[in-house]
Amino acid sequence: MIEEIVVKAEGLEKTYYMGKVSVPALRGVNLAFRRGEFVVVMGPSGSGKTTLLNLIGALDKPTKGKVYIDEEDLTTLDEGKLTKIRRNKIGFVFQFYNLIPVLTAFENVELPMLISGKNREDRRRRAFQLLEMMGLSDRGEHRPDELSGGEQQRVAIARSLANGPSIILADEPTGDLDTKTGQEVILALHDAAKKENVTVVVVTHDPVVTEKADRILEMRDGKIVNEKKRKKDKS
Amino acid sequence: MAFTRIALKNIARRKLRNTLTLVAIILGVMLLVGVNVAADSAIGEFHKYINKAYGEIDIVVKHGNAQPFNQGNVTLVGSVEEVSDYTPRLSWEAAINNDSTKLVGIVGIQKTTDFLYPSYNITGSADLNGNNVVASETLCEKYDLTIGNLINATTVAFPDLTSWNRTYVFKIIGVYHPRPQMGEGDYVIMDLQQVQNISALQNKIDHIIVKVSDTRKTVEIADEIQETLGSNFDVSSPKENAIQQIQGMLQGFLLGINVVTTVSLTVCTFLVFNTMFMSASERSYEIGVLRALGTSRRQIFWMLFNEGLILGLIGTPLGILVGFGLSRAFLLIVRTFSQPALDITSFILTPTAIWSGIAAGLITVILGTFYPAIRTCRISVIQALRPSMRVQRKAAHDIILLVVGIIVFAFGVIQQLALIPFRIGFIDMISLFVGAILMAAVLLRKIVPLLDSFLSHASLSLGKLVSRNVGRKLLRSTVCFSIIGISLSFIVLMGGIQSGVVIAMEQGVRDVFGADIILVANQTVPTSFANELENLTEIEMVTPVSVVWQGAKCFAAKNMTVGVAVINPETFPKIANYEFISPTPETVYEELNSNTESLILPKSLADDLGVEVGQNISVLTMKPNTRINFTVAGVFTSPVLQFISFGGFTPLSQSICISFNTQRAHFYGEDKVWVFMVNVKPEYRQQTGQVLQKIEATYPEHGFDTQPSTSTLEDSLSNVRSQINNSLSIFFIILYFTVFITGLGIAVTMIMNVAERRREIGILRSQGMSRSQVLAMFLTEALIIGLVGFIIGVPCGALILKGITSNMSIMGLWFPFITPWTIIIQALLLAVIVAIVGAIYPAYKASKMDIIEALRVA
Repeated sequence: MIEEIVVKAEGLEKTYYMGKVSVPALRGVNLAFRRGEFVVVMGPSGSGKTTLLNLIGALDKPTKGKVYIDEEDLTTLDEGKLTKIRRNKIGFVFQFYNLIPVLTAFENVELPMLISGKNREDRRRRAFQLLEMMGLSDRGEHRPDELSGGEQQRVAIARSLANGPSIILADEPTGDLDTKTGQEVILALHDAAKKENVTVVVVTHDPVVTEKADRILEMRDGKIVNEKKRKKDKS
Repeated sequence: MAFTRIALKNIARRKLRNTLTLVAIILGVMLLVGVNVAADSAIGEFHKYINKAYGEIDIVVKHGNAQPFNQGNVTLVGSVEEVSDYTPRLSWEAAINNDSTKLVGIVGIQKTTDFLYPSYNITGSADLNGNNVVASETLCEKYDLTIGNLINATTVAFPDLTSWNRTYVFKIIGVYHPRPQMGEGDYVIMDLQQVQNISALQNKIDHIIVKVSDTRKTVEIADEIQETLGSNFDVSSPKENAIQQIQGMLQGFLLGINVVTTVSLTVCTFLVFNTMFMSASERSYEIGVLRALGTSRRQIFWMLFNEGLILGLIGTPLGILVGFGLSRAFLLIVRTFSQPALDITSFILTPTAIWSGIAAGLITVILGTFYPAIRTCRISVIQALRPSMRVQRKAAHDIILLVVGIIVFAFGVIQQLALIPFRIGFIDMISLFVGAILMAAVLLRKIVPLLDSFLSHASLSLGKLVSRNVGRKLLRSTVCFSIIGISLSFIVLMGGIQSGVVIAMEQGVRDVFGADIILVANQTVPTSFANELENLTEIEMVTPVSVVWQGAKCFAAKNMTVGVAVINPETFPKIANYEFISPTPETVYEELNSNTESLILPKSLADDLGVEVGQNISVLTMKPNTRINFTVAGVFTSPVLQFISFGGFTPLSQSICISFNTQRAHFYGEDKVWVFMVNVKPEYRQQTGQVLQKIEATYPEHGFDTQPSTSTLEDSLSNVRSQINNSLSIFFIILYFTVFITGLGIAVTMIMNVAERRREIGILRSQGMSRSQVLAMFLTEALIIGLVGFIIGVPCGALILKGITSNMSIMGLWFPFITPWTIIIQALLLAVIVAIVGAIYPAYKASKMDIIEALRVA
C-alpha cells in the first residue's frame, strides 16, 4: 500500500540577510514525507536542519520554492491560515523549555485543544488518553518544574498529538537528556506516532534516535546530500 | 567609577523600561514643582497687589463705631515707637447740585503731613487751599468735569445727618489718577481744615493712617497703638489682614495639593521599586558572574543603587524644568481663587520649589531602589549562577497573609469610623491600604479557578492562561494594582469631598437665603418698598435686609469690630430658616422685635466673642456714642454663611443682627435698605429668572440689575457649584496625572512580562495561538490588574472619606458622606483605560514577535 504524501517540498531555498551579508541556509531542497514515516534529519551545525523544520512547520516562509502539507501550499497562505495549519496539522517538540510553566502537565496537553476550541469532554478524554499513552497518567496534576526532563518531553510529545496532526516536528528532543532518558523519549515518540499514524520528522545529532528511523536524511551546507532507508525500499 | 559605567550601560540596555520610569519621575517632580511654583507666584502677585492697593498704609486707626474723634489722638499715635509716619484724614459726603442721588465723597487731608499725598499722580495743581479740590478721575469722567470747573456741593453738618443744608462751591484745580483698580470712586480731595469747617467737625478726624518702620512688626505696633488709644478705637492692619486672609484660605488648599502630589510621588516610588526589582531579578546570572569574579556585595549594591540614582539625577532636574514650564497652566486654575482675578506675569522658580523638587525626586529613587539593591547584593553566588540551584523563597502561607491583611484592614476601618477614641493620623489610611493590598494579593492567587471559568466564556485558552499568569510574579502584579488602587482611592475621595461640599454649600445657601430672589439696590431704598413689591402678582413675601455700613465694635470675652446686619424680625423668619441653639425661633424674634437692646448672631461669631444666649455684649453704638449692653437673644447655626456679603460689607458670618427698631434707636440709617429678600408664589418657582427681570424692568431707578449680588436662588446655587468645582479641579488634574503614572507602571511591568515569556510566546504561537489571541492574553492580564486596583481603591477611598466626614461632624461642621456613582464609574473607566493603554504596546509587541526568534531564546 502506498502511503499518501503528507509533506512535500520543492526547490526549497532560504536565505538570511544580516545587514549586507546574505547567508543561504537552504539551497534547494526537495523532499516528500509519507504518512506514518519516522524520518530523522542529521547534519552538522549550520547545515540547515532547523531551518528546514521551521519551513515545514509554517514557522517561517522560504525565499524560494514550495512547501505542501496535505497538498496545501504553505507559501500562498496568509498568517491567519498558517496559524490554523500549525494548530490543526502540525505538532512541535522542542529541545527544552517546551511546556508552559504555569500549567499542569494535563493542562499543557489540553492547551492545543483549548486553542482550537474543542469542548471540555473531548479535551479531557483525549488528554487522559495521551498521558496514559506516555505512561504519565499519574503525573497529570504536576507542574513542569515538578517533572523530570524525560517526563517533560513526554508531556510535550503528548501535547504535540493533541489535535491529531498530520506531522510532528521534533527539534533535538533528546538534546538536553541523558542517554537512557533520551532513548525512552524517542521510543515514546516513535510508538505514539505509529499508533496515531502520524509522520514524525526529528532533527538530531543523537545516533540513538536513528535506530528507530524509517529514513535518515543527511544535510550539509543547506542541501540533502544523502538519504538512507532503514526499511525495505518499497519503490 | 567602573560600577557607575556599568550602571549607565545597564540603563541604556533597557531603554524602553527605563525611559518610562524616567518619565514617571519627571511627572512626579513636575507636579510638585509646577503646582507650588504656581501657588508661590499667585501669592507673590497677590502681595504685590496688596502693596499697590494699600500703598504705604500699614495701619488704619478709626473709632470703634466709625464716628469722628478728636484730632489730638494723632499725637498719641505718633508717640508709639516704630511708627515712622502718620497723618489724620476726615471723610465726608456731599450732594452735587443738591441732588442726593449724585453723591461725591470728600477726603480731607493735612497737606503738610500727609505722607501719601505727594506720591499721588495728579494732573494740574495739587495745592489744596480753601475750596480748591483735586477731583478723582472717575468723578470727572462721570460728570464731564475738568480742571477749572466748579462743583456745587451741598453737605450735611454733624451731628444732624438728616438734612442737606450747606452748599459750597468747589473749584477743581487738579485731577487725581489712581492706579488701575485702586482708589476708584467719585470723590474730591480737600484741605482737612476746610472739610472740618464744612462738616462742623472742628478739630475732628475719622481716621489716621500710619506707616511703620519695620513691616514685620506691623501687628505688634498695631497692638501697641490700640493699647495707647484704648479699646473704643479700632486699630487694624488691612494689608496684614488681607495677606493673612489669603494665606489662611490658601493654607487648606495648599495642604490638599501637597497631599495629592505626595500620593503621586508615592506611586512613582512604587514604580521605581518595581522597575529596579525586575531589573535586578533578570540579572541574577550576571550578578553571579560578577561575584564569582570577586565583586563585593557592597559593590553590587552600589552598582544597582547607582542605576536608580542616575535615573533620579536625570529625571529630577527635567521634572523641575517641566514643572516650572507647566506652572502657567496650573495657575489658570489657581487663579479662580484670586478675587479680583490677578494677571500674573512673572513666575518665580523659588529656591524652595527647587529644593523640594530635588528632595522629592531623589527620595523617590532612593526609596524605590534601596530594597531591590539590598536584596540582589545578598544573593548567593551559586544560586545566581545556577538557576536550578535557586531556592524559591518560601512564600508566607497564604492564610497567614490573609489573616494579617484582614487585621490590618480592620484596624484601618476602626480608625476611619472613629470606633475607638485613639487615632493616629495617616496610620489609619496606611493600614487600610496595606490590609487591602495583602488581602487582594492572596485572593488573587486563590480565586484563580473562578477567573478560569469566568474567562473561559470569552476564550477557552485565554481563560486558562490568563488566570494562571495573573498569579505569577505576584510581587510585581501587587505593586501594579496597589498603585492603581491608591490613586483611584483618592479620586473617589475627592469625588466624595466635591459632592459633599457642594451639597453642604447648597444646603447652606438654601438655609441662609431662604429666598427665591435676592435684590440688591445701587443705593438705599425705603423699607416700605417691600410692601410695593408684594403687590406684584408673582410675589408672595418680601423682607428687607440692611447693614450698618460702619459696623460696630463689640466688647465681650474678646473685643472685635463686627458687621451689623439689620432685619425685620416679623417678616425675616418667614423667608430665612435660621436654626437657633436656644430658645425657639419665635421667642428669639419676639425679643429682637420688642427689645431695642437685643441682638442675634451666628454661632461662629458667638464662639469668637465668647458669649452665649442670655448673656450681654457691650456694643459701641452711635446713638449715643457710648457702649451699651445688648442681650444675646439667640445664637443661630447654619452650615455656611461666609460667602454671603452684600455690597462688599462684612460677611454675615462676622455680623451681629439687629432689628430696624434697634437701628433707629442706636445706629444711623432711616428705614432705608440696600437688600430685599423675595419669595415668589409656588406657581412661579420655576420662573424666578423671569420674575427678577420683571422687577428690574419695573423699578429701573433702584438699579437692581447693576448689582452683581442681585440673583435668584438657582443662580446662586449654580455659582456656588461652579466655584467649588473650579477650586477642586486642580486636585483632579493632579490625580489624573497620577493615574497616568500608574499606566506607566503597568507598561513597565508588561514589558518585563513579555520579555521573560518570550519563549513561551513562541511555544504558544507554534501551538497555533493567533497573534490576536496573544494580544488579548496580555491585555486581559493587565485588565485584571486594573480591576483589582479598582476593587481596592473604591472601598479605601470611601472609608477615608467616611473618616473625614466623621471628623468634620465632631468639629461641628455638617459634611454629608456621599460617594456618587458617577465617580465610581469614572474610577472603573480609569482603571480599564489605564490598564489597556499601559499594556497595549507590550501586548502588541508580543503578538508581533517572530516565532523563530522567540523560540531561540533559552
